[in-house]
Amino acid sequence: MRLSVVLAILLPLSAAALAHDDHAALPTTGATVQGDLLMLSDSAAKAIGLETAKVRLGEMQRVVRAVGSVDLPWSRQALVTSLIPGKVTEVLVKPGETVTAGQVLARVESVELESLQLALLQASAELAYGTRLLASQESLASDRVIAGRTLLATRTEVQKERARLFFAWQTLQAIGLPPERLEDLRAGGAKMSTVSILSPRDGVVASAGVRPGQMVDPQEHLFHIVDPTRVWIVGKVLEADVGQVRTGQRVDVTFPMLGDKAYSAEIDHLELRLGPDRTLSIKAYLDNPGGLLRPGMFCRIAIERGTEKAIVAPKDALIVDHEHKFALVQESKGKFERRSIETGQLDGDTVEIKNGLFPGDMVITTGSHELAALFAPSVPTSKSAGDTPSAEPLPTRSITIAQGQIKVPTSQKRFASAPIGGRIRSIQVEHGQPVREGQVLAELESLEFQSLQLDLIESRAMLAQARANLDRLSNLAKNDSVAQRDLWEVEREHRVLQNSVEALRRKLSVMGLSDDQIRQVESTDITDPASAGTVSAVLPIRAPGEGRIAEFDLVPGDVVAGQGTLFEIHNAARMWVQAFLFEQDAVDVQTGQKVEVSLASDPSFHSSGTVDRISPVLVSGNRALSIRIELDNARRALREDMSAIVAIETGKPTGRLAEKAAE
Amino acid sequence: MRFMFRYMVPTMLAASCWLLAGCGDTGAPQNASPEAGHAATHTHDSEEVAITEADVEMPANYSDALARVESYRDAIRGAIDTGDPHGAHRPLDELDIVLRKLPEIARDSEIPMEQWETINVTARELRNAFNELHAAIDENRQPDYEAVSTSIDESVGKLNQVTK
Repeated sequence: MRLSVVLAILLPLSAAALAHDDHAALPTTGATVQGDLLMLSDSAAKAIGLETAKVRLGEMQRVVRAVGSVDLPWSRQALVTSLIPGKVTEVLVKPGETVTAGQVLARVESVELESLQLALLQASAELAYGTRLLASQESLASDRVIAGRTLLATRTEVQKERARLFFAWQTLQAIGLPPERLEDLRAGGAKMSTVSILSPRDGVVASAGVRPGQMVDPQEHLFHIVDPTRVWIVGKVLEADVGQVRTGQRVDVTFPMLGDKAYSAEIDHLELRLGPDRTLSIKAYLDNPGGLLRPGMFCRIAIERGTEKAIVAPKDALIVDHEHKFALVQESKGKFERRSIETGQLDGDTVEIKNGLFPGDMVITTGSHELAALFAPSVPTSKSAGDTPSAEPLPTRSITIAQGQIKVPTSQKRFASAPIGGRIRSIQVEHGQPVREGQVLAELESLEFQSLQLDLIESRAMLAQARANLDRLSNLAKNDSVAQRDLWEVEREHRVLQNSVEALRRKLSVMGLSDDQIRQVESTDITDPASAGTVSAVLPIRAPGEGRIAEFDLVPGDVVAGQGTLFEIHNAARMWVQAFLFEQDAVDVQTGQKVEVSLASDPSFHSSGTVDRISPVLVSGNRALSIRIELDNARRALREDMSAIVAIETGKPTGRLAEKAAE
Repeated sequence: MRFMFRYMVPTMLAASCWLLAGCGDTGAPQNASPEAGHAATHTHDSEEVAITEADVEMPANYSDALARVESYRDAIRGAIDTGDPHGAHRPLDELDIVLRKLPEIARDSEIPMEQWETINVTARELRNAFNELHAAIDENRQPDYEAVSTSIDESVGKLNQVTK
């Protein structure tokens, strides 16, 4: 409608101009364009309903946008396995069912269970017999009715059976049989035919990959229990925005599937390294009592950086002509200038002005697009503030520019591994958390680890018995009262047991037990099989050095293989920049040359260093030479795999990028 | 119909504009301001040499810019008072360029953002006041400095006040 009014006004004017043969006078009403200036009469302004608005100083909400998804925190889930191999006889829960901690999920029938119970019963019977026999022999021996050798042999047997009973008891307890059930079994009660698989936590059964009759082994995850009442929002922040993101910042999360509702959360932590897609993962917790947020669900994230004062103009004032943006600025009554502008963030009906306008400028908001069509479609001659040449000097020809990446020095990376196969019982750290050397990161539950301790206890008991035998025979040998061959045999037995004990000690030491802990295990009283003492199937996984948790991908109940890496720890107090030079540029680069490093992710970051190392060989395939610069990272601005630009003062005219810049 | 408006309207408007421009003169439409068409790069008459931003050494900072504004003002007033209004052409042109740049200079001199509006609006008022004089000189009328003297001095005072 408005355009038709413009036509109605301007077309007759055009006709009048045409009819004005002597060119003596220009139209008395209308619009005139001269370069970037537009003179507009009152009537023409009125005809197009021209309206202006003031450019002002406003508060601009600074926001970093990212996409993300819902994920389940490791602390809100658990995997369930059977500790012994066997056949599933019963599955008591279905996916989607709510369960509580300790609830029986399934039952497994196991040959191993049968064997362990049998071993316990036999050891118990042998121990009872041996104990009675020993008591009888001890009184006979005191009257010298039987030989001391016989008494020692019986003592050895009793000690062996005691150790076997202890072993079987502890193992059955570790796979889930309660002590009272074991007492009952030992007292002649019925053997258990199945072992129950229990839920380790409250939650919902997310998956149940098990059926009755199925054979299972301890490496197999049978159930996945989740508690989705609190979820992670994992956002992917583009590298260019990484410098603006901090822990503690508020995020507004929206889910296209759930309409316009925005959920508010706070950034809990940032990953220590960029992903292969050049984004940094951020994580925020969100309560999810209704369970609406489902893991895997797509979301949009607005990370609030707070508000900043900025020049703002009505969005309607913005005229976009191909790559250029303009506004029509009132210079005086009826006179407007087409001015090139640089815009920033949009916020509702306003747009941030980075260059070209100042508070107090009056800009056309209604009619601007119609009037913009009157201008020649070219870049305006008037210069905006943004056209001012940068004061920053271009790189000189004595500077070589190289691209690089931030790396954690290899000496500053540590890995915490599982020394033995088992399942994760607990995780005690969070991503990004600082840890000190020796701090427990997780606990591993391993029957193999427990078996080693029980083996040590058994061997230690046998060794003590062998020592006593050896002492006795050595004394007798002094009087030639014993055959030399008998002495040798006892010596051999003692030596074998000694070696066995030493080997077990070393194995436990490698697994992380201290000398004190090993001594405590050795001194366990095995007379009462129900007293576990210091024997445990739980093995702590400790931090091998100081740093922050860079990576782990575990949940409680995860089955891990022996020697598998569980945690990666970075000490990022100092970082490397690994830069790559073209072969021809590399000639002038030497260690010790000054280097300026800047980041793609944070334009405000600049750091100085020197070339610390130059690789002796070119990178095969692309004929580039790798150099390293070490930088201080006290501000923690540097994260692994960030892109860096490295300017090396070579003192020689080299560097393709530098030359381009100089041109 | 919508299609026609989308593509034809700008074309017709542009055509109208070309027609309005007539033989190339720079006459302003009725009701447009008297100084309309007076750009910094405009050649005023045979005595005047067209100048651009490149011809004017930009002040180093806001204080320097204000000193320049006062100096130009004095030169313009002096030229008019001594009966040589055409001698005011050059300082008028340079003053216009400096005043156009004044908000940017203030920003680069780290004058607080809250003051930018005052600077921008006052600088524009000053430009308009001096443009009135410039238009009179261009049209060979006697420029009436006294008529704008008070408002000019008030504006200059306001610009000085910003840094106080």
